[in-house]
Amino acid sequence: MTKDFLKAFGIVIRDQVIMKNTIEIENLGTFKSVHYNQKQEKRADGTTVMKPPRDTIEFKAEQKG
Amino acid sequence: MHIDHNQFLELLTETSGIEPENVEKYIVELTNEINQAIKDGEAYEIDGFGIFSGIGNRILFIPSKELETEINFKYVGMEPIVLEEEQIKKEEVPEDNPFSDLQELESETESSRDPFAGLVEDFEDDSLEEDDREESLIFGVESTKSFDGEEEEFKPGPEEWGIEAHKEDDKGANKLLSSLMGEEFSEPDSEVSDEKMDEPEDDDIFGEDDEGTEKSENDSEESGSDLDDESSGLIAEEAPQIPATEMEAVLIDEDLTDVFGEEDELDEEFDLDSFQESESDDSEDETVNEVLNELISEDEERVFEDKVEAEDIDLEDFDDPFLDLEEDISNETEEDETEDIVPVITNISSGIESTKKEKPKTKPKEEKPETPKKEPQPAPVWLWIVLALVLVTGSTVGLGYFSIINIPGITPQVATNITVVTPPPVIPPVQVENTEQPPVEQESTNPVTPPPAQEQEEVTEVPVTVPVSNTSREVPVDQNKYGMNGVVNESANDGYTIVLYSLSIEANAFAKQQELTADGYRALLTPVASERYGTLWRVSIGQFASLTEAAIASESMDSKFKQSYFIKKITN
Repeated sequence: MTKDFLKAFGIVIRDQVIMKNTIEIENLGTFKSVHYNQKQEKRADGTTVMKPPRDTIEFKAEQKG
Repeated sequence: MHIDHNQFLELLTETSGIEPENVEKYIVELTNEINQAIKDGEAYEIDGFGIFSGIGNRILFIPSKELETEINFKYVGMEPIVLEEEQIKKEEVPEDNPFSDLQELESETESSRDPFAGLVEDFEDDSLEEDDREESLIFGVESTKSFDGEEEEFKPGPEEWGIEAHKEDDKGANKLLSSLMGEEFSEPDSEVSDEKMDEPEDDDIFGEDDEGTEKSENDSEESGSDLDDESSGLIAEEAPQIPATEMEAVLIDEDLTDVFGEEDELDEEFDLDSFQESESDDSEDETVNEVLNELISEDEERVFEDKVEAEDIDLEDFDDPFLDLEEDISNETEEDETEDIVPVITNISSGIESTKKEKPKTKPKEEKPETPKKEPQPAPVWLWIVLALVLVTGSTVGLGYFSIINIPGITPQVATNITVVTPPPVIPPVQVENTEQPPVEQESTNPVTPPPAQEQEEVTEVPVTVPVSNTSREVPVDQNKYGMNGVVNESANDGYTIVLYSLSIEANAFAKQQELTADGYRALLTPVASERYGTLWRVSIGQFASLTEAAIASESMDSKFKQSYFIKKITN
């Protein structure tokens, strides 16, 4: 297992997550993207701001047994 | 899209350039190391990717900051946008319930007392009283009607009855009384009394004593002449001072008490003796004079009363056939307290029948105190007027509050704010180039004074990031400046757009732009410079004048675009 393999491992998963795809890896689990829409928040000073959207990566371990 | 293990190996082989066999080998080694680390309670970290850690049997993945940033690269440069005041107002207006105050008032008025309860009770009481009055009036009228023929005999009222009725209606009876009670009282009445004394009833009543009475009358005439000489002056002085009614009233009270009271017993012996002496001897005048002298020696008021007592003496000097009757009646009347004194007078004149007629007298008694009760009748009218005014004012205020009637100070200003704050969305009508694409913003498209083409040409912007137009088509003249669909209008780049994709490869972004343009959207391709990732290409649709309009339009987008989008100003 080389560094190039680990780097490629990260890049492939990142790209697929960006493309809203789910990646399944045997004996490990599944990666998928979760999107949070932009939303309004009211600050303590009374001003209301529109927060930008956000994407996160979520991992679900493979069920063993 | 789901990438299974085999597909992942292929992608990994393409990206790393490592042979597939080695890729499979490496991936197995990697998964084993991660699982072993989790079993050992340790975390396994891949540089630039993240950390695998375990809590119990669960495996957690914590992405690194680099990966988080790269995943959100399309949102680079996005910062929280402070909404404008109008936008805030618009968002707050629907939450503001203009009727909350009214609802609070209604709850207070409901929980509070019923304002009409007292009125209703009063009205019920008044109505009952009125009913009673009406009944009493009805009965009173009926009673008066029914007793019209007997009004001369029946006298209304207790106190006023004794004076007025005795004065007005019972003159004959009074004359009879005066004649019965004493001829000395007044000579002019003595003639009338003599006439009435000749009535058969009186004859029957007095019976054998008529002769004695005649004698006493003659004596009384003589003694009356003497009285005239001596006491007429006193009486003359007394008469104008005391009205005849009062005199009669005095007669009523005191005569009755004297006639039927305890004094009778005390005076009987002396009276009988004196009467016998006066009747048998010629010295009647002397006795009378002695009595008169004694009377004169007393006060002027007492003189008259004593004179009346002297009359009583004369009355009781007779073998009064009324004593038994009067005693019976007095026993009955004593039970009825002071009012019973008055009917006794009529009993003397009318005899036994009057005792039977005492019961109807009580009915007219009730009439006079009740008639003044008619005066407070305006009270319920006042209440009704006040109630009507309250209802009218309340209804007008309510109508004003609900903006049915514009009443300054009462009509809530919120309603006007709503109309001001919520202008129709300024989205131009859709120009659907591709007829297959359903119009998304047909409902919210209201043409709002589209600027002329000359003005559009004059607008020259120098944006930091200028969207790249993918088409060489000219903007139609009848197209609105802002909108979701149509041809991209460069003069509308001062507005907002809905970003759907952010791609690092320009070719892919351009392909997405073409696809969206074919769907009829105003597709924009905007390059965004990033120090970390180089140039990113954002693909967005629509041109909107404000953030609110863009948000409204985003609700009607295709469902595949709703999963991940954000609204951004076209030119940063």
